[in-house]
Amino acid sequence: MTYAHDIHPAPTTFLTKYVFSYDHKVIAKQFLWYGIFFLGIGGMMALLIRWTLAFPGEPFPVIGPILFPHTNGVVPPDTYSMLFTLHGTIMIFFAITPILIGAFGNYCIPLMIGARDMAFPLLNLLSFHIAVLSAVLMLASLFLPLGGAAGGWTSYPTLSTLIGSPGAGQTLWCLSLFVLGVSSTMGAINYITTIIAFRAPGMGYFDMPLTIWGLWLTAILNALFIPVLGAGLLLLVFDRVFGTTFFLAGAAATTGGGDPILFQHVFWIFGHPEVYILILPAWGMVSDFLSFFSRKPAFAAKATALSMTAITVLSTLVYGHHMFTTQMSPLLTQTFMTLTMTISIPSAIFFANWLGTLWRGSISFDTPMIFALGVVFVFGLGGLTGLYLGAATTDFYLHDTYFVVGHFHYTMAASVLLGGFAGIYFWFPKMFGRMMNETLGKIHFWITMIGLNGVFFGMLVVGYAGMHRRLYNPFVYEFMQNLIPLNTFITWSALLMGFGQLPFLFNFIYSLWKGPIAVENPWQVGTLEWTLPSPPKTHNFDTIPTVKCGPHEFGNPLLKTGRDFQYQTEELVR
Amino acid sequence: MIDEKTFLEQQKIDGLNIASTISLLIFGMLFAALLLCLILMRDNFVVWPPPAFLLLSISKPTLSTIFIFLSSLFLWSAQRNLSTPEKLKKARISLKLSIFLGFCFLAVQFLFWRELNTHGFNVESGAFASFLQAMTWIHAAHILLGLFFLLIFLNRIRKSRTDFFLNENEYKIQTIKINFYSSFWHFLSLVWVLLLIGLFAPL
Ligand SMILES: [Cu+2]
Repeated sequence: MTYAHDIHPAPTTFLTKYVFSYDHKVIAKQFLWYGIFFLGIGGMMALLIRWTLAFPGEPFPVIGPILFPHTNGVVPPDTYSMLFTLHGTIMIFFAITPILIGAFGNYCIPLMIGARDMAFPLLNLLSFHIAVLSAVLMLASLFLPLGGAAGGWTSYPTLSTLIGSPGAGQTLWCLSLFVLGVSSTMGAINYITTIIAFRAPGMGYFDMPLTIWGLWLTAILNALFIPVLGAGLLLLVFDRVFGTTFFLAGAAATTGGGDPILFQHVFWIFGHPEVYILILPAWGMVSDFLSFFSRKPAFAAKATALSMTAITVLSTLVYGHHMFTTQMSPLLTQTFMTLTMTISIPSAIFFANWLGTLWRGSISFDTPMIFALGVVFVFGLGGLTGLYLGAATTDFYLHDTYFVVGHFHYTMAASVLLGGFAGIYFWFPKMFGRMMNETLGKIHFWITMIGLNGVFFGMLVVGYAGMHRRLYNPFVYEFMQNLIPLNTFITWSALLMGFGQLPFLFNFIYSLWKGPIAVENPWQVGTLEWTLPSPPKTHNFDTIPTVKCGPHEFGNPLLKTGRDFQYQTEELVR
Repeated sequence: MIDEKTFLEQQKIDGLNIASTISLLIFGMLFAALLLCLILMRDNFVVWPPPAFLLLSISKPTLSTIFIFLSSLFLWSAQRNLSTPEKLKKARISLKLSIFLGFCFLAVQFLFWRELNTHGFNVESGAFASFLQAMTWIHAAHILLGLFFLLIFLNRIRKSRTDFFLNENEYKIQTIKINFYSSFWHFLSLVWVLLLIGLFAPL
């Protein structure tokens, strides 16, 4: 007790407790607030985009005239490009990443593996504050004379070179993401090290909750592929600042100029794993929650973990499917297509395992569980639509249409968002020591679920009908005009989804102060964090626990304790 | 019941080992990506290096190569002399030589960049010059970081610091860190060789 207290003393001042904290639980909360803040900003941008598509030329209500006084509240075309660029960037790097990886990674890893903190608390602290610096750079770019980056979140040259975006916004965008990359790799070093070296005695890799598996694989992908993005961004910055010609093809004939496609290679070598970086933590959590709330052991948990690992490995080999239309050799096209299709094998395995977990379980539909079930549904849809994009023949038609937008929103936005909410509802009692309101949680779920399916399924449909992404006003093309009603429907769904977040926001903030006090283990779950008081002490564990069984020991008929589950610190009853 | 203090100290040592491996891997991926760009770019050219390359003297890159190779060699010898206080003296000399050669490498790089600019290989003059300059910049920036690491290493084994061998665990931790700093330097030597091959080897 005293030893634990000595190496992890409770902070005493406001600054060391809330701002420059070494405590992984505090850093997790910092990342959570950071992510929720940017979720709001990115969501607002989405609504501006949607409004423009449904009601071209009409002013955005209420805040429109304040934001765009020169056009009486109508989103101007150049701002539109900036909006879709920064909506993507902010949602991926500043909302989803901090919530799923920053917040849950930091919070869950030490608590669920029986450690007192991350392996390198100082690195952890720096990781958050560097992420803040990155956010400042990104937000600052909005206030430049020519505005922020407008070359799309993929920032393909030549859109992203000085020819396409002359302003400093794109340069700041690159620098901001580079800085964020430094923060993420620091986090990744910490996560991987902590999970490998700091597990409690007795905890083998397959005794780890699947949440930890997801976070671990994510961290590995982060460590390996963020540097690749870093290399691409460096070269892009050099092109913009020092005048190199890596991505400028203009002068190729005379002096041997660069190649815009080069950036696409680097970007997607990172970009495809990035999709899995975002989704793996959600998969892990959902795999756990389905078991926790079905009161059944996770069906074939080992196979789930191994499938996730297989997907992680495969995800590094398929990036070419983003580049089918760049005139790559047919041999490469077929290779990438086949490898992409191979991913459906492990995906199908763990998807079947999810259903196996639910099968004949005594399911309780608490808020975290309905969000987890939501993930199962939207991820199923997202995964299936991916097949059409992974197959070259259909991709030639669907490339750069709203079908792509719908697909990646189902996989990276909807699944991850719902997974993130599931995690928030699930760990809120442990994090803040109070319960969130169940009724509001369910209202939040249903509005979000209906809204997001309206938006993203609508996108699949208009994309299939031929509507291209990133157009300011697609309806100047006559053949697009019969898609106006559908686009209006998508926008209303988006507004519904946006307003659906208000119950959540209210619930979250109200419960922080006024929610009923949480007991130690409100969900009756056996993983290590639930053996601790809510919220846990600064040093988490008075004595390092010894792990004796897996994380999903539910419904064992031999149990005599009056509970239907076992804590991981208990010997498995046989 | 486990002996918590021993357990936690072992965790710390394992952790440092793993983290230093991952860190090297991260830098490795950065340079791997840059080298991949170089390889893909070479593929666009009919002749590589471009004919203008003949105007360029490779005396300075050759000198750089000799410096960084010798530097790595001295560093390796320093690493092998950490086991006893007597040997530590030898390690100090080797390490100082290694650091000195590292600075020589940087100096030659500066001369090389000057030469490139005066001979018309400025960054705007096409992809070959862009790679030639930017790759060596990025490498040199890491050399600076590497030199900083080697200076920390030197500080760890300086004469006035007598506690190097006192505590077994502390010794283990120090050697892990020193091995990381050294591996980073050797890694940069390797990257330099690969860069030279990528830039100058004919297609
Ligand atoms: Cu992909």
